[in-house]
This record gives sequence, structure tokens and C-alpha cells, in this order.
Amino acid sequence: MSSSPSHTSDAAHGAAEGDDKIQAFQDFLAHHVMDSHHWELPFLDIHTPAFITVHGIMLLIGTAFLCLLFGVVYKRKDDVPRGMTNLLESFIIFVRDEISIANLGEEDGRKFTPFFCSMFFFVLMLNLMGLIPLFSTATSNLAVTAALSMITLGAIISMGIARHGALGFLKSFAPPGVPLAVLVILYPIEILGTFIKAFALTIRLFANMLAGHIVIFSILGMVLLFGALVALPAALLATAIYFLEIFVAFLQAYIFVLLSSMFIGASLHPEH
Amino acid sequence: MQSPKLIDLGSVALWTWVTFGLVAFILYKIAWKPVLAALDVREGRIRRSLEDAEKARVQLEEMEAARKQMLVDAEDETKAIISKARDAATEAANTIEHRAAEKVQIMYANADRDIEAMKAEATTTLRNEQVEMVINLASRVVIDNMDTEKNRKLADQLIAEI
Repeated sequence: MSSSPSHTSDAAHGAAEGDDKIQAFQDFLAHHVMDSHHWELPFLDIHTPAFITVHGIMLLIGTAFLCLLFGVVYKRKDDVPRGMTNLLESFIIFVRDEISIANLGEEDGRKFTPFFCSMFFFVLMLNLMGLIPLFSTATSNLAVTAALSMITLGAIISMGIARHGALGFLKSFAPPGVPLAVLVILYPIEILGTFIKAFALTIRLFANMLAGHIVIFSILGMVLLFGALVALPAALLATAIYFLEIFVAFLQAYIFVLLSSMFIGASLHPEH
Repeated sequence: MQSPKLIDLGSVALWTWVTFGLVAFILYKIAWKPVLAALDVREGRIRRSLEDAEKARVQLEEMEAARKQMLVDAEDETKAIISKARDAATEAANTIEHRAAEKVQIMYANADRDIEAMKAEATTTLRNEQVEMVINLASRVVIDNMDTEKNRKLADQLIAEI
């Protein structure tokens, strides 16, 4: 039994409509998640110059926010910190005591606290900015997370060489008491391991931040696929995921800085 | 020729380094350096305050112990003073009692002696008077000695008079 031409035409039309919806859904997702030169604001479309993308602008805005946060909001003259000052100070003390000093020791930990504080608040600010409407998540861009990991990698190598000398740093890759035959295999793996650590940092932050946003916008995108009927449950579910994303933003900033400090600590004190 | 995508990735990476460098530099100047120094100062002050509080607590405990010891010492001293006073009072009472007893003994002895002397004196006086009386009576008996009957009556009369 063959279908009539009108039926075939209806089916083709339906399929085309389905394809359109899927295309619209994909465009919606890509528009909200991917980096571009086009920043869409209410009543204003900004086309960024060739040398900077929207994520680049997010980096600059994040920097400005951080300067405002610590230059204006944070009251460092208060003897008894309150409100936002207290909150920021608790983060600074946490980074100093539980991340920097815990992994680098008392002396090196104190020296590196400014570096880890900068990294923590930078990553946290970029993560959180993605949760503010109109802004986008720079840390869901592989180039951003790779550049940040390369800063950690640079610190691992430069601090290792500065502390132990180039030869000492290279020697630190060889675990003591390992037979030569094993060392031949182990040594390249250890060196490769340092780069893999940085690579893992890159992927972890990138994937976590991207995944959260894909989930939120996929749920909201259901409206494009299934119509207004799913609008309310989609919005509720997206709100729930949004709160989870706030937690993930803090968690990933913490993990990124914690692992960076552990790697740099291992480079400074390979005996541990 | 590089694709625009790669250029974008490169520019974003470059912007990341630039902005991170800016954040690290600016925040080091306006935040981390003064804040961490202020935190150290505050932590030092809190630590010192806690140590001072601990010292004050220990000092207070020592003072309390000294006060208790002083109370115990004072109580012991009071007990000793009371005991000493009681002993002294007992001794004084004993002495007074002893002296009084001695005085009483002396007074008794004196009284006995006086009584004995007065008794002896009285006896002597009585004897002398008796002698005189006997002589007197005898002389009257001798003068009035007429008959026996009369003598007996006289004698009875005399006896009765005595």
C-alpha cells in the first residue's frame, strides 16, 4: 500500500517544521553558550571589534567588577568587619589558610596568598557573571580556561626552577629509590603528568561551566520544541539548576585554585 | 591563513592573561597587600588579647588562691589566738583559785588561832571568876556555918545561884 501524494506532502511539511524547531533550538543554545563578536543587550546590539570577543569583554568587565568590589565595597579600615567586607575577608582567610598555607607551607603559603586570592576571585567572578542575565560565562570558553591553566603551569615550572635550579627541577620528576629500568618509563610519564595536570584543570573548569549552561538553556529551549505548555515546568526546573550553578561556580573556583596550589606546592616541595 | 575561530581563541587567551595580570597587580596593590597585613595585625591583636585574658585569668586564679590561703591562715591564727587565750585564762583562773584557796586557808588558820586565843582567855577569866566566886562562897559558908541543915540549904542555894 502506497501513501497518497497529499499525505507525503504533509509528512514532508511536518518533518521540515520539526527540523526548523530543532534548528531554532540549536541556534538558541549556541547563541547563549558560544563566544561571538555580537553582544545582544536590550535595545542595543554591540558588535565587538575583531581583536576582542564577547568573552574578552566579560574578562574586562570581570576585572572592573573585582576592582570595584575590593576598591569600593570592601571597607578595609573597619576594625570589626561587617556585611560584604566580612564575607570577602572570610574568603581571603580561607584561601590563605586552607589553600595556600595548607599546600605550600607557612612561609611559601603566605608569599603565594595574593596569587591564589587573585586566581580564586578572578575565576569565581567569571563563573558568577555567567549567571547574571545579559552577561556570559567566560570560563565556559576553552581558551580562557586553557590560558588560566597555563598560568598555573608557568608557575609550576618557574617556581620549581627558581627554587631548585633547572637541573634540580628536572631531577624532581624522578621519584627516589626507583630502579633505572623503571625510571626510563616513569620519567617521561612524570614530565607528561605535569602537562596533563594543567590540561585536566583546563577541561574540568571548561566542561563544568559549559555543561551547567547547556543544561539551563536546554531546559529553557524546550519551549521552542514543545511550545508554551512546558514553559512553567521548564522555568521552575531551570531555576533549580540555576541555584545548583551558583554552588558549582564557587566549587569550581575553589577546585581550580586548590589543585593549582597543590601542583605548585608539589613543585616547590617535591619531597612531600 | 588562520581561521577566525582560532584568532578568537588566541585573542581570548591573550585577554585572559592581560586581565588576570591586571587583576593580580591592581588587587595586590589595593587589596591583598593591605588586607593581608591588616589581617595579620588583627590576628596578632586578637592573639595578644586572648593571651592577656588568659594571663588575667591565671592571675585572678592565683589571687583567689592567695585569698583563700589568707582566709585559711587567718582562721588558723584566730584558732591559735583563741586557744592561747583560753589556756592563759585557764591558767589565770587556776592561779586565782589557788591563791584564794591559800588565802582562805590562812584566814581559817587565823580564825582558829583567834578562837583558840579567845577561848583560852575566856577559860582563864572564867576560872579566875570561879576561883573568886568559890573563895567568896567559901568565906560566906565559913561565916554562916551554924548547922548541917543550914549548910545544906545554903549549899543548895549557892548551887542554884550558880
